[in-house]
Amino acid sequence: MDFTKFYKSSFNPDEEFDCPEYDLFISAYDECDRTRIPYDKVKAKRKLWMLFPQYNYKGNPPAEDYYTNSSVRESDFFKGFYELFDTVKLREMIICIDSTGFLRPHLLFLMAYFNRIGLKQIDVLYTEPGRYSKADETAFSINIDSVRTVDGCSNTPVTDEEMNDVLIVCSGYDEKLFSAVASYKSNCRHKYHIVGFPSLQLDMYQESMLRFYKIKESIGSSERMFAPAFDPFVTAQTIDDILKEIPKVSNIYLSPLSTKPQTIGMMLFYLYYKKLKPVSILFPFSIEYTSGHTEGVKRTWRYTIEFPAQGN
Amino acid sequence: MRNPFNVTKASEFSDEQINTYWVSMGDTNVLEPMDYTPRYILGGKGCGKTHLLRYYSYPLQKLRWGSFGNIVANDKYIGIYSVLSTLDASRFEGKNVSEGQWKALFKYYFELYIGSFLLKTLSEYIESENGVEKESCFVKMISELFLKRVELEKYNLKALVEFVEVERKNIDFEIENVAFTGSFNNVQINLKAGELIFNIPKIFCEVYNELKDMKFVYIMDEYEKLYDWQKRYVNSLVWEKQYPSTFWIGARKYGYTDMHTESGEELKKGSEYSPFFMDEYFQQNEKEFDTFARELIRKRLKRADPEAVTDLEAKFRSGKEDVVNTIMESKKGNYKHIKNLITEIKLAIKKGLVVDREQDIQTIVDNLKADTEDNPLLQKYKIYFFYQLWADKNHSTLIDYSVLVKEEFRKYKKGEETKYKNIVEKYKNDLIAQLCEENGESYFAYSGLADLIKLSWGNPRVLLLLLKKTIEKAEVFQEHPLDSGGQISLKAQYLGIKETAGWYLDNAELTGKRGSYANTAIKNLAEYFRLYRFSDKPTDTSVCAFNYGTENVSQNARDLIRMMELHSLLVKVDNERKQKNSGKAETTYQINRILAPNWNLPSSRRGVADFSNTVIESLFNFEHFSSFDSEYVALKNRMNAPFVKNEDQIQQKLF
Repeated sequence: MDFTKFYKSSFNPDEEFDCPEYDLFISAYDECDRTRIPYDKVKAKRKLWMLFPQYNYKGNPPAEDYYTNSSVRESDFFKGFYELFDTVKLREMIICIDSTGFLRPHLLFLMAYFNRIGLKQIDVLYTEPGRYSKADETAFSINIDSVRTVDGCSNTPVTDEEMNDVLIVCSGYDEKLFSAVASYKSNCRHKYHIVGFPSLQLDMYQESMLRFYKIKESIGSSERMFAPAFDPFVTAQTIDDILKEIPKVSNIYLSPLSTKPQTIGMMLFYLYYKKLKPVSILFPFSIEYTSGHTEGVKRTWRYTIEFPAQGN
Repeated sequence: MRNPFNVTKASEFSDEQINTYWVSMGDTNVLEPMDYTPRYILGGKGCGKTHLLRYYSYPLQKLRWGSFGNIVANDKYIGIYSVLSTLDASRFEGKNVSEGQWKALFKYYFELYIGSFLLKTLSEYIESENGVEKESCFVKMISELFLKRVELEKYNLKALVEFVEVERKNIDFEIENVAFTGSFNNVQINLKAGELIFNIPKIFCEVYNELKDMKFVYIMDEYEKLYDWQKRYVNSLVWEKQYPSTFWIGARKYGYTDMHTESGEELKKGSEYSPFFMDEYFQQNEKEFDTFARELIRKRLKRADPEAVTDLEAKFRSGKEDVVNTIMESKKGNYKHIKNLITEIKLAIKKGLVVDREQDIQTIVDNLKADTEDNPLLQKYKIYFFYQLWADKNHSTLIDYSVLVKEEFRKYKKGEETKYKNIVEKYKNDLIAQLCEENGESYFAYSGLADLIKLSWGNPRVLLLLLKKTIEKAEVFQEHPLDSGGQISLKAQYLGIKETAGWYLDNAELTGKRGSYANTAIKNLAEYFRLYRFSDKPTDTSVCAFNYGTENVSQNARDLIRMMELHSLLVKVDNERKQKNSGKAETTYQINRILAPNWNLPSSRRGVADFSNTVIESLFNFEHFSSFDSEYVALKNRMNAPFVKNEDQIQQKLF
């Protein structure tokens, strides 16, 4: 599998969007320019905001069409979503998700759902921030409540005599998330963390390194790998490359804790290999999240995700 | 030579490394395979549970004895090791599925999961020359355990294992699927609870009569990663254990929360199971831990380079006694404690809290410096005595106090009985700590290998990390710590210790809101203890523990204290202290020693602070956190010149 052959392009969000007209456009409502600009500019027959209860919105709900559910767990949140569409028609739609404001587990679950119902491909947008407002002190999640596999992204664990489990983390700004995942899977023999490099902004790499240093000892020996923070396809390829180097792998745990593009990359790897390898996706969950950590917008990416056939 | 202490987690070791680095816990037989009582091996992060449990597991037995036959002949048991976190307990909940369905599915899955481990382990004997003859008989008997008849093409172990794996995969598929559909499509529970876990060993011993005395130990690590209802199921298996099987279960202390079975029975400690608290054992047997720690270090060094360092202790510079001379040389009499004293007296005069005059200050200072030959520690003793007199407020003047201090000190120097004997005996360490902090000489706070072992307080991982970090720092400072003639400076040790202490605090695995409360509480508690160490007139010496009456303490505070104990932030101190005022036996907790360097607190306990209920609530009841500041200020005022209870009192004196 060569993930780098997937299609991506980028453009200035202040200018005309380089996108086709979609049947359905889904974005997460987080009251930021980074999601509002694409929402206004993308052409689609139907646009739908997702309102996640974890964001604890203070203001009024959007005037536009939106979907929400009070359940925080990703599989429960989308329960009513299925009823909005006829599955057969949905399968034929041209769909775009703006991943920018999405909660990562919800993004993963939605992608898994689209793959499951047989969609062949979707476009996913991501708009880079100008910068994180509090630099390396930025905290996204408030308190980590539990670490678990993302619904719809689990697999059959291997029971070998000598366990040779691997944990691969896309590590980002929130170092406590990494620490929580490493602690949950403390029995993993091999640990890797993929750092976003080039990062979204020049100083982001250094800032995330600073944060990583704080938790180094909790994680134990973890090998550092690199993949561009904006590139899901190189991320997926990097995971593939890592695993080729480890003989007799037992269980593989992926944990997307960095940018949305890298999260998409992990999901892509999962979808393509879930039938072939014991791969699962782990995530440290919080009851509440905060949004609006960024200032400005830089560029918007469009990734075309071709799903594997269901038989894969 | 590479840093021999680089690896600090047993999970990163190969089986061979687990064997090589194994150090027994002296004469204590924590795990005795011949004893059928199930054991729960408990402890904080890094206390050595995984190393211990893996050491007794089948892959390690194989390394030691070679063949299955040899293992049974020598050990008389096989250890079937599994890590329960691999089950991913959280998959078995929610998704619109009822609790009852999840429970039934989990139990079935658990059987298949453990059964699969066991069958794979036994395959080494069954598929060997000795076992193959009875293979089909064994497989047939196992296949009959399933509720729905198992049809295998060939009755061999490979086919049986494959069947079990397919069953398990089907469930995994259903679990993944149900997230989207909200209901199971095709799940059949095909085993009764415990059917494989208890009957495979029985059937094996029956079929392979030559091994009839063999024992099976299910070693299950990371029990804390299960949900409570799942733990109760495991407890039920422990409760129902059947010959020739037993259980050794490893868990973090905070995961050892419920010893009930599914039917509500509580496992009886002693007769039905026996817990062993690893870090508590070492905390209470410090001599044994010291021996254990030194052997651990010796093995690491030997493995890294048998010819290199053998005496690591000699590499550590020790220097607590040098600190006074160092400060004397660097400050040349220009001490911060004298400046602070002058400021405080001036302020007290200005606010009308004392009757002395500005022009008396120099005389007071001269009296306090007299006969000390500029030795800052001797001055500290005198000033402490001066503050004691000031705080007692027997309506004399500060200048009179200073004269008394001077006269008593002269007697002390002549060897006569005075109050100084007690001050030196009780407060020397605190006053040295004050000197270190005031003069920026913190490096002297902790030094020497013995201090590192004490700081790690029964936790091998903390010790390894302390060693790793101090050696790393010494390497950065080009001290060549592991080469002949190299050393580890006080600065390298201090920085290594500080970093380890910071790591321990930041990574205490505290989750949710209660986790953030615990974080606040430990920081506030440390600030409180700092008052005892760094005040003008501490009321007790080397305080790093507190004592409190549990009677009227709120549930919130009790819960948080308990949580902090389970996460090894606080350690319940095993003594029978009585509270000074009430005389009742009370509970005493000490801040974990490795946390102490975060705030330059003492790591060894001498004094214990008696906390009132109000203080306990302000520290540990999140609803009363807002009252911490006022409690803190009140204590601060009581312990620092001009020794007034609050600002109002200052105002009253003024007007």
